[in-house]
Amino acid sequence: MTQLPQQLINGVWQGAALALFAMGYTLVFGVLNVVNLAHGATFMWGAFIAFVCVTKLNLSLWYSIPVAMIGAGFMGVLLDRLAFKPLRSLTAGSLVMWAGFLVLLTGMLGDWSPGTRRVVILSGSVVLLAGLIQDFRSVRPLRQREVPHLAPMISSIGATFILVSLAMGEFGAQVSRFPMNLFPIKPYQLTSNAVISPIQALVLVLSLTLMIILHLLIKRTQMGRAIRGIAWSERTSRLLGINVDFVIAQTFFISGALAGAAGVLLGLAFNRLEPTMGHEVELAGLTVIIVGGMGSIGGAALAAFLVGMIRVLSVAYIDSSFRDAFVFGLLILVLLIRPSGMFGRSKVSRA
Amino acid sequence: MPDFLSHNITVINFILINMALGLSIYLTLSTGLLSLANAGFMAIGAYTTALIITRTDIPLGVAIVPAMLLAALVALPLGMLVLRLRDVYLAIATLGFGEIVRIAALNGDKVVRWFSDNKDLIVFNGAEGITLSYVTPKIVLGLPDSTWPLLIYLLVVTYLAFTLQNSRYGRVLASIRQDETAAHTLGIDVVRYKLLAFVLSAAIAAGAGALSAPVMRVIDPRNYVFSKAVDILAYAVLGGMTHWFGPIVGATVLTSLPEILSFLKDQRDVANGLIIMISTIYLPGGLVDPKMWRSLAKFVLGRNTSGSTA
Amino acid sequence: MRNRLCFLLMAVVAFALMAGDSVCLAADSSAKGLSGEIPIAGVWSLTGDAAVYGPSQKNASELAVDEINKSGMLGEAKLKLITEDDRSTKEGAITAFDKLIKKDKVIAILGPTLSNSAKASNPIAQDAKVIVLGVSNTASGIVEIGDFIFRDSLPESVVQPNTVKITRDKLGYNKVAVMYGDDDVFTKGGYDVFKKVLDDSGIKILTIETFKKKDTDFSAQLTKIKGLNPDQIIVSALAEEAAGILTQARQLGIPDSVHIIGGNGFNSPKLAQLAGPAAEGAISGAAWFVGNDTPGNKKFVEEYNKKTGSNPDQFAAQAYAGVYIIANAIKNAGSSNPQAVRDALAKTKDLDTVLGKFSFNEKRDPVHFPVVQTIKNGKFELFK
Repeated sequence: MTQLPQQLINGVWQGAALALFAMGYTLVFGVLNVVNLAHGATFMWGAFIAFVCVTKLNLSLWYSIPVAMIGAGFMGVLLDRLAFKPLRSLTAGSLVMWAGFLVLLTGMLGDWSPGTRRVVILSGSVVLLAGLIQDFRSVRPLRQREVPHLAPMISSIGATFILVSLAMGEFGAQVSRFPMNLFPIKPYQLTSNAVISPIQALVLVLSLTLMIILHLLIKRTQMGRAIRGIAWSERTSRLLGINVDFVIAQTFFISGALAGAAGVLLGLAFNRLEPTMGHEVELAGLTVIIVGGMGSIGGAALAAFLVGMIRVLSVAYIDSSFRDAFVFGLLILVLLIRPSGMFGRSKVSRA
Repeated sequence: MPDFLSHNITVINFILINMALGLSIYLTLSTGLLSLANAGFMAIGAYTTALIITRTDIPLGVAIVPAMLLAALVALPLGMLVLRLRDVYLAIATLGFGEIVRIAALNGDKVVRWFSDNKDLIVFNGAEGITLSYVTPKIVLGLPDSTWPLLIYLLVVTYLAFTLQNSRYGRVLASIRQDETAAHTLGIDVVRYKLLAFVLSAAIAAGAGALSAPVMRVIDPRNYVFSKAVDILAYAVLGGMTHWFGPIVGATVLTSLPEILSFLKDQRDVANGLIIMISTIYLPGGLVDPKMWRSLAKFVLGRNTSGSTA
Repeated sequence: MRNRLCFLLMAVVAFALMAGDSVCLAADSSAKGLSGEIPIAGVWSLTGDAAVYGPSQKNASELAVDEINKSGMLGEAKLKLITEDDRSTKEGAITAFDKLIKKDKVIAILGPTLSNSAKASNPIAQDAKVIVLGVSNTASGIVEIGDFIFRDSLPESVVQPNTVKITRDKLGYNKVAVMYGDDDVFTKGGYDVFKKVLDDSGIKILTIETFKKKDTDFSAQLTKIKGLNPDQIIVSALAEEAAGILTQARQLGIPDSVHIIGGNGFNSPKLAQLAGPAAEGAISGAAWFVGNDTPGNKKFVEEYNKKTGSNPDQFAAQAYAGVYIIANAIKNAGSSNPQAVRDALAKTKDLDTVLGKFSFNEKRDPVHFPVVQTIKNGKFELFK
């Protein structure tokens, strides 16, 4: 039993990081009823944005974290506009955006001379931005669409492919790390046989802070009320004069920013950055949001700690080979017994 | 064998396997079920067959039967449990099932050893998997003998999908996809039909897995990860979920794409992702969407052409 | 009528093709001396899961081919290296082998990167009598595929007993904890050997913990291990995971006197780079050592650094040596006929390579001496 205190600490700080990831995940689901499988890719890009800030731009870590959050947030908005919005309503703006996006990609990947590349990328970005603005301004879509439920999920899988492979092109497949000495490594001794490293403590503190901020944002502000309204009923919100598309964009921004924060923190804590780092957390995150009840932010936070604990304790007391089996077992069990989630009380999706 | 065939026979084999897998998920999708369990059932089929043909003299053509039956036997209770769930929930539950199958294959020997006296017993062989011995392919009627079973199986499955689509069952399944509640009020036993589609789909995927064993030769858990489930889904999505010809086109395009796009090297995945995104957003009916082709034909020819394009 | 004509035409074409093939072979076997381009291939995992390892193999093999062609080692002839990506999948490896053998008509293939891909693809080459030289396959059941299948990657069964013996003599341990990646053939194979060696030498294994490839968190396993107070920790992992294990072990306060002992997977500059100070004192048995004073090793490390900007890892060294081993066999055979080259290859004895004096045994497995190394001041040094 001597290992128990340490194992609890291991579980708690990882649960905290997982909670950050899962809250953004579940937020988007709550508002749009869409599982954004590219959330893991946003998480990865958040980590790499901070990595670039620290290594290339020589920013301090304290500036890099917010920069990464803002960057990942905008990536979330862009993701919505490219991958999800056209499925809700197709506007001329979104067509222009897509054209710009394709030009941008050609610029980034084609075999150009540096000068031409800059021109192509720049023109692509300008067209993309113009399309984005147009898309936001347009009130009447070309087509209001009714697409199958799984279309957004599949579209986000496509987006994941693109985002991951862009990161591969930029940073390579191999593992990168933040510079040494960015953070003190000497652990704090909590009890005689339990330690916590400064970075783990930081993850815990920052995660809890962001959780509280998110809670206040959703419960106490005008924006939060709008988000909750849309989650309740999009049509009613529209009738009440809420700019639904703008609020959805805000939701994606928050969601992306949280994923970005989780990416930086986990990247720092494990000191391991790689383009595929989103895959692992994606599956754990899915379990968390199901167990917590899809769309329930508090539920996701609690479930994250639960999953973190199960992962740690199954290794400690059972067998490390079956760690993931326990997590997926929990997932299926919850789906079968209580599809609305252990902590959720929202709409049940049962036949 | 003509040059083109002999140079590309392995790609063609994989295309045939993937076509059958695409058709297997088409069955559930056309009933409105987003199930991602097919990679798991494929694994069940492949492992069963590999175990049978490495340990006995039973030929592949016979070994496929227990493989398909086993998958159906697993699918039946699983379906009863998870088919109550809808949409994303079903997708995630079946995804979890796929992962559990993979973990079971990886650690199966540990479990087997609990029940056996032999503490070094090797059945699934963990990450190394089961290796089939290599047999030099013989050319029979212009095609290697490894390709024939795949082709025959695909023809059978295609025929099944074709007749299903044009039968009463097919219309029932389509009605469930379009409006489950309405189908229910019309007196259709929705649960039974869903279960039928799910079990049939599992058996077809297992059959494809079984026949893929001699082509892949090494059956290990890495073949059946999450991304395989997504690949299978992509065949049906790109091709179209409303017509049986869709997954066939989708599987052909997506399997040959990496070979065709090999000049793109590292950026192949970008192209892959773009194809998936653009086809879901701008071709929601898939490449084989009778409606789309009809209206396209109308547009180009400027007159009313009726009749299917398939 | 038309059908029959078609069939006849096909038959004629097919016959012509077969005849063409045999003519080709006849011309080859009668060739004296070497000239023209000799096609060889490298099949690496450049994308997908194993994309971390493929590129260094690709770079090293290209470097070796360039050097050989510049040096005129093969007289008039030049090696033509065709690189294929197997996307870290068996499908990819099978397809690449098929294409290389049938279309590019290569005489030898280096790779594929992953052992399981090799098991799936090598029989095709064996069947077509094309040489395969595995440069990173350490699993069992590879060279057993046939007499055209070789490897220059020292299997763990040769490396690990040596490691355990030497470290035990120095450090004197009796109880250890073992950790390994159970979903990867390379690390699982390493574990199997470690387990056998430890059992044979009567060392007590306190616990066996597993993890998965790409896992980032090992704290639960390490906490459990810490509670058991092992003398040493034996780890079968690749460099990325090993770095995580080293870092987290020290964070959890496992004392420096408990060394982390690993296998070939540790042998990458990435380990020290990723784990930083936590990598100090890590011990590993390996087939190659970056500071080897073997002929050409210093030049290889320099040139590789010039080409890629980083030190080579063991994967690179073995791929580099592999090209030289093949080229040497072609030179000795005096022909590019696969059968002749195979026979010359099988006779390879005490060849000077970056891996050391290199020979093949009768099973076509490599024979050379493994080393035991440790990390000091961020660099690999021989463990003494």
